[in-house]
Amino acid sequence: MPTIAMVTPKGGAGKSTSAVILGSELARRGAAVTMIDADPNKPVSDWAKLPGRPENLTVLAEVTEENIIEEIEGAAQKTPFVIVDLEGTASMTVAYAVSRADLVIIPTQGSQLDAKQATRAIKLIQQQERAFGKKIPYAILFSRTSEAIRPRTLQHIKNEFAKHGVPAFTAHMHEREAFRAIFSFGGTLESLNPKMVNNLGAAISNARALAAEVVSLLRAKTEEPTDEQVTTDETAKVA
Amino acid sequence: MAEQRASIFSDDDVDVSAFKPKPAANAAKNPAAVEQVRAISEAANFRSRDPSRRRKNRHATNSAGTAQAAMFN
Repeated sequence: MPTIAMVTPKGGAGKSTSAVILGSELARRGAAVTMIDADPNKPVSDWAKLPGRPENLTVLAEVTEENIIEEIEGAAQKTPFVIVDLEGTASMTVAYAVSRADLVIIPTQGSQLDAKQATRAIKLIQQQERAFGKKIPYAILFSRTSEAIRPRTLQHIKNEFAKHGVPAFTAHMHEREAFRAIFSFGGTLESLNPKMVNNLGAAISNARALAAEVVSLLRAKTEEPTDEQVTTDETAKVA
Repeated sequence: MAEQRASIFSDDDVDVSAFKPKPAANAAKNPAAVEQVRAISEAANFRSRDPSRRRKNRHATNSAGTAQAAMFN
């Protein structure tokens, strides 16, 4: 059922990597997954052309502003999970994807520049929530962070989001060689050769922690008493 | 006995089988809803990259003068 959109107007934040890692992990757990590659640079499609893509994971390319809503709705009727990877820009395509999303994941590096762009995505989500009287769950996913070092800038950004009631995943997408390697070798983390990729076990644990948190959020959404609720008063106002 | 200790962060409870495909939706065939998303998007500066629409936007901006003119006026 869920459509998950990877959104931030900032490029290089880790949207495509997070999308592939999450999609692969859901597929490993047995779910059929459609990944919609709406990034003109086609990173997910390029990954899918390499060997080792899970059989229950399909990638759709050639998605544009004109057809993205139809593609998302079509995919959502075929597979339980749809993951939309979007270009790192503020575009109408992004807005259309957000309008059809059950969860918006906002990958954000621990920098002021990334965080400011993340707030643009949050404002767009909140405006759609107010206009359509429905809740669009979203959460910041801190990406490309160091597992060992917690810089003060990252902590400041985390505090700022928390102060404004912006939810964030506990799991981070740490900067890891394994996350880069799947775009080079193809396949999934589990199919990588540990002799070729450092610290693979930690990357697998990282991916599983993220997927578990995503599933938990989605499960909470499906267990809500009503599908639609006005969020004007509840939603944290970042604007 | 297993060669490795079991993880205390077991992922056994991460069951994805409860998630099913959605019934048919027709938001794409609802021009009013699509137009509303478009209006919200433009208000938030998430603009169309469709060349025909971008051309229209550029003309609207140019009517107010160029950035250079604004700087020196």
